Parts: sequence; C-alpha cells; structure tokens
Amino acid sequence: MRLYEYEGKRMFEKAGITVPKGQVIQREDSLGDIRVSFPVMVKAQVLQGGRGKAGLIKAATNIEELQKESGEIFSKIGEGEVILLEEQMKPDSEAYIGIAVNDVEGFSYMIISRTGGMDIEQIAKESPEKIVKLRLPVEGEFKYYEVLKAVKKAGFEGKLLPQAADIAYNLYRMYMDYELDLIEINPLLIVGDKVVAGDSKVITDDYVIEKYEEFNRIHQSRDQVEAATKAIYVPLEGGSIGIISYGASSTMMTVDSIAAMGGFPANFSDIAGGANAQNIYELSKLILERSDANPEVKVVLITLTLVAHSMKLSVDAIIKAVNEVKPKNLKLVANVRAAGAAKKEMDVEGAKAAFTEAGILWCDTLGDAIKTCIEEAK
Amino acid sequence: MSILINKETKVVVQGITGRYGSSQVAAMLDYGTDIVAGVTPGKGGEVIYGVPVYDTVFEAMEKHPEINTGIIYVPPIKVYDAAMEAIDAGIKVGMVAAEGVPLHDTMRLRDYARNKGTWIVGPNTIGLITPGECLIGSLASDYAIPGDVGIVTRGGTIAIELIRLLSAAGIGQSTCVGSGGDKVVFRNLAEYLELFDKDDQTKAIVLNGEIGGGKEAECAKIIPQLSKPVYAYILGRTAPKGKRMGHAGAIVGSEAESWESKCEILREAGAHVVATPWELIDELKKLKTDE
Repeated sequence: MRLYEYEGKRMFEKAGITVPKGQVIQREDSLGDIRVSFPVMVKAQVLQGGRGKAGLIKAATNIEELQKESGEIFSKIGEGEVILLEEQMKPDSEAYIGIAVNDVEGFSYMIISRTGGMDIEQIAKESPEKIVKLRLPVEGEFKYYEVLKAVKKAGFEGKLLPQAADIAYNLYRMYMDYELDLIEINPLLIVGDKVVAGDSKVITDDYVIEKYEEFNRIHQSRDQVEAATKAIYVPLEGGSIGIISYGASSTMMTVDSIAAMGGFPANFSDIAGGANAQNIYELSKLILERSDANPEVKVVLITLTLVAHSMKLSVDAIIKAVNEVKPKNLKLVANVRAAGAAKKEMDVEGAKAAFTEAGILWCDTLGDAIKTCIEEAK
Repeated sequence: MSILINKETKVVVQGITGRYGSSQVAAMLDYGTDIVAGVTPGKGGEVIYGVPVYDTVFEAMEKHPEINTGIIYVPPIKVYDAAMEAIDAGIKVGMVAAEGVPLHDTMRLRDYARNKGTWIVGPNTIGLITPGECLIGSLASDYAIPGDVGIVTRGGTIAIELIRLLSAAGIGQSTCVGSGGDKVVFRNLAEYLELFDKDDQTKAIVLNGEIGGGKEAECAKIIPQLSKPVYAYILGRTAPKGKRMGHAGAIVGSEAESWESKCEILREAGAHVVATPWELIDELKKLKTDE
C-alpha cells in the first residue's frame, strides 16, 4: 500500500523529520479555517507521479486564489481524495534520500544525493558518482556514524550535515521499524540552513499491514475510497474479449495469448486471498456485468485450470453468475481443465455438459477457445 | 538426473498437522514422494498418514538421518523461525510455499540460508516436480511426464499450464520449479538456469518471467555463458503500466522493467523469445527435429 504524501509526512513529523507547516482540506470543507499562512502550495493527494505537470500542484497567494485552485484540483481528483495545503518553501537547492529494495540482490540500499528533485533517475544514470549507495546490514543495525559518513560523502556540509544525517537515520529507523518496502524524500529541500522534507513516498509491505495500527487504520479508510472487493479487476482499454479466470500468472498467460494471436483482451482479474466458490461467483458476476455494459466487449472466455479447488464448485459458481446476470450482448465460450482432487465430484466431461446446458459454447482445448473468441469478437 | 529433487529425496514436513499441510502431504505421498517425518511442536509422538511427527526438526533428523529436504507449511508470520530451525538442523534443500512472508523476513532468511549453503525454493511458490520421481508442493502431478525440458517460472498457476500444454504435445520435463512470486525470493531465476545448465538430463530450458523487477535482466547476463538453449516466455505484455497484476513483484517501475525491454534484452542475450505457450511448443519441437 502506498501512502499519500500527507500520511507519510505525518509519520515523518512523528519521527522528528521537519516538514513544511501543512493542513489537509477535504472537498466539503469551507476555507474559513486556514491555519497556514500565505503564500501556500495547493497539493492534490493522489498516488500518481508527475503531479506538477498534471496541474495537480498549484501555488496560491491569497484566499481567492486558493478557492480557485482548490476548486480546480478537486474537480480533477477522485471522490474522497483530499488536498494538502502547505506553506510555500523557497528552497536554495534540492537533495534526495531514500531506501529501497534491490529485488535481484535481496538487499536494501540507502540512496543519498546532494542533488535531487525531479531528475534523480537521470542523475543516477549520467553522474553515478553523485549518488552514495549504502547497503543496509542484514543482521545487526546501522550505527549512526555509518549514516553520517555516507551523508557527508554525498556532499552535505556545515549545519546541513547533522540535519541530513538525522533525517537519513530516521528514515532508516522507520524503514526497519515498520518493515517498509520503500521510503523516500524527493525533493529534500535546503532552505537557508534548514533541511525540510518537500515530499514523502512510503510504500508498506502488504503482508504486514495488519501488524501496525497506523497502517491498519489507513488501509481501512482506503477501502472506503476504493470500494473494497476481494476481486482484483483491471479493465484493459479497447478490449473486446472479457476473461473469467483466476490464478494471476495463468490469467496473464491467457490475456497475453489473446493479444499475441490478434485479439483484444478486455480485462485482467485475480482473486486475492484464496479462490473459494463465493469469490469465484463474485468475480464472475463482476466481469459479466462490466463486460455486458461495455458495448466494445462481444464475448467472454471462461477458462480455468484446477488442481486443488473443486471443479464442481467452480463451475457451479460461474453458471450461477451467468444465470443471474443474463448477459444480453455477450457470447460465452468455455474451456476448463482439472486434475487430481479438483475432478473428484466433476470431471471435464461433466463441466462440458454443465456449460453446454447453460447455453455456453464449449471448446475442447484452450487454444481453440481463444481462437473462437477472437473470431466471435470480430 | 534432474535438479534439486529426485528418487533419493527424503523429506521432513514442518507444519504437517495443519489443515493445509496435511492435505498436501496426502497428495505428495500418493505421488510417491518419500516423506519420512513431520514436525509440529507439541504434537511429537503422533502419526499422520503413517508419517511419524516430532516436536523439532533436530529430533526428526536424529531419528531419520537420511532426511535431505524440508518442506515448510507454517503460517507466513512463522516462516522465518521455522526456516531458521531447518537450516540450523542441516537441511540443504527446502521449500516455503506460503504467500505472505514479510519482505524483511525473506531478506534476512535469504542471506542466512545462502551463507549456510541451503537452497530454499520460494516463498510464495507452488513447489517443484521431477516427473515420475518426486513432487514437492502442489504442482500438476497428473500432467507432468518425464523428459528433458527444464522449466522455471515466477508464478504458480503458469507452471501448471506449461506442464499441461507441453505434456499434451509430448514434451516431457526434467524438473519444473516455481521460483516464487514475491518481489524478493530465496533463489533467483538465473540461479535455476545455472542448475539446469549443469544437469545431464536437461537439454533445453524454459524461462518464464514476468514484468517488473530485475530478475529477467540478470538472466540475460548469464544466458550467453550457458551451453543449453533457453526459451524465454515473459508474461505481462498487456499489463497497463504501474498496475498490480497479482504478484508483489510484478509492478512495472521503469522502462527497463517493461515487457518490451525484458523480451529485447533476453533476445539479445541469445534466448528464443516466445509470445505464447503454443509458440513455445513449436520452438521446442523444432529443436527435437534438428537433433
């Protein structure tokens, strides 16, 4: 889970990292109680990058401008998303400090650069000597002086040095204490002789969210914004073939194969946290409803390979969804396979009979089913 | 031969009495996997499916010194402790099936296991199979047939599909292994390529990667040094950028990690890059005819 900038900055403040004075405003808030003095930055709290270019970060020097800019930003962002108002900083320069995982080596690195801002990737490519990389110890911990030396090596001097070292060390503590996936300040603002976090990027490890009260609370509030569902459903633009399938990688195989063979897949999907019959039913229903409502989608492919989950329960769940949704604008095509315990109560012949009875076109192989769908969708 | 597991594999299962563990054990015993002991603290002395249960891995190893492989079926939050026990008890090949092992636990465990010379498959893996000899996990035992193609994947269900489709086309497998779907895994794809390259039985290697992360690029670096042909099949060509496709690892973070760039660097490294399983089968059949 990626935290919003203001959520990350709250964590920063608690950890003793200086952030600009700020205030969160909601869509329904009146602007009568502004506690940040002008000029202010008006920053949309969204998870996409490139907010500046997208017109989602604006400056305002008085209440009228604030009203205008915040109104415009609210019109561009989602229901439930908020704006962070901050005192405007006039930085002399920008720097960078972050910690991230190298997935190949299986180690985490602290990355420090005296030059930061939007072009940090560019700097890393063109002047790698300006970037100090410090591998985090796997056993034991960083000693403060190790971080201090790295920060000095990156070019922080004088009054800036102890502040930047404190920030780097605090980021390290947060990264370890909350078992984070990523933590980053970009830009780190140098304002006179002060070092201030201009932004925050914090990504949690989804597997440990429940361990931490703060993340739990945020996660629950997120669900209201994003409409919690166990199903992961990703619509694909311009698609004409819906796909009912589960198992992330085998679904990717089907979706990719349709595209590689000249067709246009309309969605990716997966079931988070185990595929029981109820989850399969809900996911199937969702895909059938969305596909039927989308005039571009002409056909839905039902494809499953089962080795552990019961074929009968899965097929029954899908047919129940089909009978309830009664899609008007879709042709349905099926091919399912089962092995081992999955075929105890129903084998492939049984599935073929059940789908055929439900008016769904059966194909004998997955390859044939994909080709049939591509033909039908033309 | 094969890689990692074979007829000589003797297994201890940690978490053997749990609901998931015991159902998987039944399926593995059916396949002929030699499970000689189980471990669940507090349940020492019990017997499940004819397999004796011990309180610690150390006791199991003492009673059954032939044990060389460990399977861990404990909840994700307990994997770190269970795996540390297995490693210190002397297990050399292990498998962690659980999805949900905390990232920081995985990194610490990964480093410790490697320093001790223990090869752990996973976490978040469907397991591995050497057809006709040994099954560790829940990998398509009905479909797998013995042969000379080695397969390594990142995802779980794709491994089942590849085994099924290759077998149906008459192409058998030496070993098929799911390296694990998480961002950090104990052993990288490239390390499995090296194992397959050294294995006498394996004549061709199928590398199944995904968008996101740098593990396929690492493979591209070593492929020119391998003596066997590599067939690369990368998933995620249709993934919208930045969207999560179900695996923590499969997030496209930069251009270098996109589907296009992964296919490109693997092609440049000399791999045969295929777009679908059916293309893969055609390519593998060509190899047979060439021989």
